[in-house]
Amino acid sequence: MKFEIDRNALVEPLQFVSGVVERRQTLPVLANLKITVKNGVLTLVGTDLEVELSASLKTITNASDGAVTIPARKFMEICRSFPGNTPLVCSLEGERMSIVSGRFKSHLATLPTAEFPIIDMDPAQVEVRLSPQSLKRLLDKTSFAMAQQDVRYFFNGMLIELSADQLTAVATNGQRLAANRLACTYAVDEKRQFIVPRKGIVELMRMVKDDERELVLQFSKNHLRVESSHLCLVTQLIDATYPEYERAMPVGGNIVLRANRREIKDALTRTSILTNETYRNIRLELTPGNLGVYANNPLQEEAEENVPVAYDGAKLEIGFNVDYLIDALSAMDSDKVQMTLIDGNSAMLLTESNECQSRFVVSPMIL
Amino acid sequence: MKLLVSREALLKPLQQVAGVVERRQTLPVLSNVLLQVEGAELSLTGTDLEVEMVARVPLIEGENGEVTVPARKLMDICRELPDKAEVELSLAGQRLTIKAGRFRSTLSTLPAADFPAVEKSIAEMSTRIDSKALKRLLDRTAFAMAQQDVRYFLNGMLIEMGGDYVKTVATDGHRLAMSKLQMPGASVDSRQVIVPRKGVLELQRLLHEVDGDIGIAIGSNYLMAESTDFTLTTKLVDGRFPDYDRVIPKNGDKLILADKLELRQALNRTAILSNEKFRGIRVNLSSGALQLSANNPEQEEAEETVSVDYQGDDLEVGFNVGYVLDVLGVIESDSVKMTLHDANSSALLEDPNVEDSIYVVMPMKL
Repeated sequence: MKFEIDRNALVEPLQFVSGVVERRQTLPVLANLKITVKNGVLTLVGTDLEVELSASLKTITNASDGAVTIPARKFMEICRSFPGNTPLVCSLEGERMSIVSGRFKSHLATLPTAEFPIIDMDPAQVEVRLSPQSLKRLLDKTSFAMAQQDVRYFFNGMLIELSADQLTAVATNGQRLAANRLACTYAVDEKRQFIVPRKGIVELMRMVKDDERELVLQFSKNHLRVESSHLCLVTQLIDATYPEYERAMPVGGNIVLRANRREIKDALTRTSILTNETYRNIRLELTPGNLGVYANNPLQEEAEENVPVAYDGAKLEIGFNVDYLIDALSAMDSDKVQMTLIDGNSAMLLTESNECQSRFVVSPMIL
Repeated sequence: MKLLVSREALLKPLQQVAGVVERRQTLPVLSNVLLQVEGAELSLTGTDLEVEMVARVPLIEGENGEVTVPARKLMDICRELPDKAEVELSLAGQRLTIKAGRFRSTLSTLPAADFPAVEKSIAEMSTRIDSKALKRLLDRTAFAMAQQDVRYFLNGMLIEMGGDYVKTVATDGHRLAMSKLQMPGASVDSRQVIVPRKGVLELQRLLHEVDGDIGIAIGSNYLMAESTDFTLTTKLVDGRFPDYDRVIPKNGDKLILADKLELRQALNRTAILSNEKFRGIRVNLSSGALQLSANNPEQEEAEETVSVDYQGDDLEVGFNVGYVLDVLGVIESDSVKMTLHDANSSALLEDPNVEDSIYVVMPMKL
């Protein structure tokens, strides 16, 4: 196996593919990348058994076919250490991979490709095409609400729900929830749900670049495969039933207030400094035209701020985890936020102005 | 106590002072900052018992008094307030109230009397040094200080005042950095002190903010740096610093001149395949060329040859690549001068254009 390539052409795809390789792994071969040259195309593959990333490059010269696996991190560091468009020559010499450029020579240890696990994807059932901009926006506005290392393992991921005319992304940790919808059409006769694990979402967010043309998402029973022009991601899916998120949506709330999103977020950030460091609870007091934000901690320190809001109903008091509110307000991109409440013991719905493509729900806290 | 101050005037000094305050401490009052109002000036003091930072802030209005409040919370609040906000602090009973626009909060306090002051004996010598020149002196040597070494005097920097110069020296026992600042016309008492690591780092942070001259005063157990807005006092390390002059190799006979950037890139590259723990790199010197090579327990290897200006005998010697790279990181010129002798002698590295700093790196058996 042999190929020559310019440093700049190699570095970016190499960083993308190496990103999935964990620092510590159970199998030595998981620290490696699989490198294949076939018919003038170089393919790089990295995996952690749950998510597999690959890149295909056609900009190689003097190529001869072959395949091998080499240490991901070292290969990347060596390539990155060269300036600009330095040409690199990589060739397999016996059991070792030689990388040469100018007066630099190196040999990397290899492992046979037979040991390298490749995810065997089952036949795709649904195919979706999305613009990178809308997918990126969808993931940015949903992913923050995913749980981390929760025993309810399906919370450590994101639900992608497909129905005849829309795609919905949902994430929750049981106390707050984010749901975002995109209108699109494809051939599904009934509602389909897929749960993508956290790591798959994180890598997908790394993969989506604005300058790409269109992304193809293929869902099978156990996998999601996303393909762009030269990158590809395959992730396992979480095999579970996601809770019925629509039931978590507060309905019939008639206490509605509108405010400047930035102003509320800043006031919450300031007052949060004097909340209880463990519980992070904050008290909201709603009166006509005003939202009072109150925090205190076991040292009897206190903070309060009043934010002018559009509201003319009865007085209401309710408590929340301040971080959940700040997270939701940060994920939005509108100037105004609308908050809908039922009473002092029910979840609050946050939306951008009055459209409901993006919905954020935060459960109250007993104060 | 009561004061009115603009957020911008308060924030930076507060950040400088809070930097000294450790996240975890033995005494609750050490997580606090001491606020003292006198006339239209507020002074802020933070300490960890070893290093003390005082900042002076002009006020819009002030009413005399003093108290201590949690440093980090006051700083966080100040940072999160909107630009150009006017901040009012007022002490009522045991609480400090902060008001700015529609925001209002109260912080817990501890009495100012509980706040430990660094004991200062009478200054035995004092001088003024250009702050940028002093900063340069520290920046060029601080990297070589030891960290948590049992030889506690290595966890700091030697500052030597001698007649018309200031010299800084740092070493961790494997490498050494020394830089000297000539002060023509000055006549300062000769003096050697060891400033602890944290004192050096805080002094560097302070010098970053200061223009013009800075006053340096040394007492029997402290060093004090004073600018218009700040006073930093650090305790000194009581110990004997190694005789650095004996560490500097004098028998070097192989003079090499290399391009700094080229050498640095080649070292960085070859280091990728060096032993991750020992970071050893082999240097093979021959006329006109320096060959670097490294290998690791996985039998992986890398080598690169760099053209250098050298005429003389061949030599093979090993170094910890991290130490060499640290030196190349502080040298300002485009080239570096190296002086070697044999495989068991330390290397002397210098900036060929500025002869005020020298760096010594011990060899390594490979």
